Amino acid sequence: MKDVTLTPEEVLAWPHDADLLNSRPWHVDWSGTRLADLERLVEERMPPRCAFHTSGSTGPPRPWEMRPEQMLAEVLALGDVLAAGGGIDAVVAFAPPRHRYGAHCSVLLPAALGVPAWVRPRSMGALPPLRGRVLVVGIPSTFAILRHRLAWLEAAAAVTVLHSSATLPAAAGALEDEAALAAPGADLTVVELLGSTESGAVATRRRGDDLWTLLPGVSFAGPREETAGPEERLVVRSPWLARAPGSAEDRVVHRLDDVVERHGPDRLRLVARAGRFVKVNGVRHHLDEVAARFGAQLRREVACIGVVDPDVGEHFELYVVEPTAGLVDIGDDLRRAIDVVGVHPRRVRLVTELVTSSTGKVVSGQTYFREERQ
Amino acid sequence: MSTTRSALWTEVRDHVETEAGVLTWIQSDAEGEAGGTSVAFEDLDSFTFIQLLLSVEAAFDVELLEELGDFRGTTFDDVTDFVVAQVERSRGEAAARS
Repeated sequence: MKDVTLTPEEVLAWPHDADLLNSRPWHVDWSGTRLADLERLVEERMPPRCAFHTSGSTGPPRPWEMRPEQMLAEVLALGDVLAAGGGIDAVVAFAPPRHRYGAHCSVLLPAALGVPAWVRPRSMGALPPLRGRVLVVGIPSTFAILRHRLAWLEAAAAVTVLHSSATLPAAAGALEDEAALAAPGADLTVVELLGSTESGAVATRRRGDDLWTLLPGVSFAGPREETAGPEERLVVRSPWLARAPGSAEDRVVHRLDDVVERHGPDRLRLVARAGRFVKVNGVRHHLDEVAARFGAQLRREVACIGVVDPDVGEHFELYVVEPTAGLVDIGDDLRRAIDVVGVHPRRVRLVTELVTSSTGKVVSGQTYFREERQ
Repeated sequence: MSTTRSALWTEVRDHVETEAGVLTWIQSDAEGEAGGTSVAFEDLDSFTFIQLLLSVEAAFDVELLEELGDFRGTTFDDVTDFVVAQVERSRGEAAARS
């Protein structure tokens, strides 16, 4: 299937969930667009407030809003970090523009870098024949795809794969190992991006590094919190925080779910995630709320367990108490429930009872995320 | 449908359904699989669908993601039709080159 070639004006036309940007592979060339032109285009083509929805709440979703100037400032800062050490010649983007990560990194980041971009919604479309320094805006399945496209990696001089805001799948390491063996000419780097819909981009690190570095413009919000140990909740000051639902005021400080150790003025080690949150495809879900909604739909006892899947990274499994343990076909009930709840478990496990620990937690391989120490 | 195409179609269909059963999401702790619960195309989330296509690519030596924009199917039979069309096209191109 051939790419549809879009103009910068078409690409910046809001909303970002339009079919034009999400239903087929497309290409745009930003190399002739200077920063001043981009700033003017953003002001002309985008609304004064751009809405992004979070998930995992029991109530109706309410949008977090950003000003387009904030979005542009965010991708300019991120672009500077990614282009440090040699620049970027082209972008191939798999993150769907309808989500915040894709709206920023598949749509606006190539514009900020001033390079051509090939966007691949739902992973469709060929990898363009490129030679140079290529940035791949990745989602979990991107690593699986690139493991089947090692010749493409080798043909490009240097490829950086960006992955956002959830546990990196083990497939990322497998890709690096396989590329080293089968595509020795490939210069492959994986960069992780920490952030959320509410906070925007906060910090980056290269795969294998222990510490994350705050993006230029982002800082720790105050002195270290008084805690018993070196760990504290991550609170940042940032120029691109989203505006809270219903609020008319910009915010300057945001408290994330992440528990960190600080290392100097702009570096941190990610220690754990506070609360029972998982990030699935970049969207944060509260496991207890998701379980309550599945329980109401299925009219059965259920539990949601956070897992780290080797292919997709961070996800959750749904345990459903079904006394016959699979002898009854509850597939249709499950499909209806998934449709209503709006999030797909990585696995559904039918169990005869929920086994709980002495503290009342459901026992499985893993019930709580902790970043593996390097 | 020619005998050759029919055999290929059956081979691809078997691979698709078997692989979907391995990849998909309903499992029981009784037998390690979900007894009477059947697997349908809509049970594949977007990631699992990509995994399924990559598995078919490896098994039948064909590239599928490149043509995925044309796929509008909703059943395993539709996936099989799509795969068979790509395999035949790929084999035809290879024969024309040789």
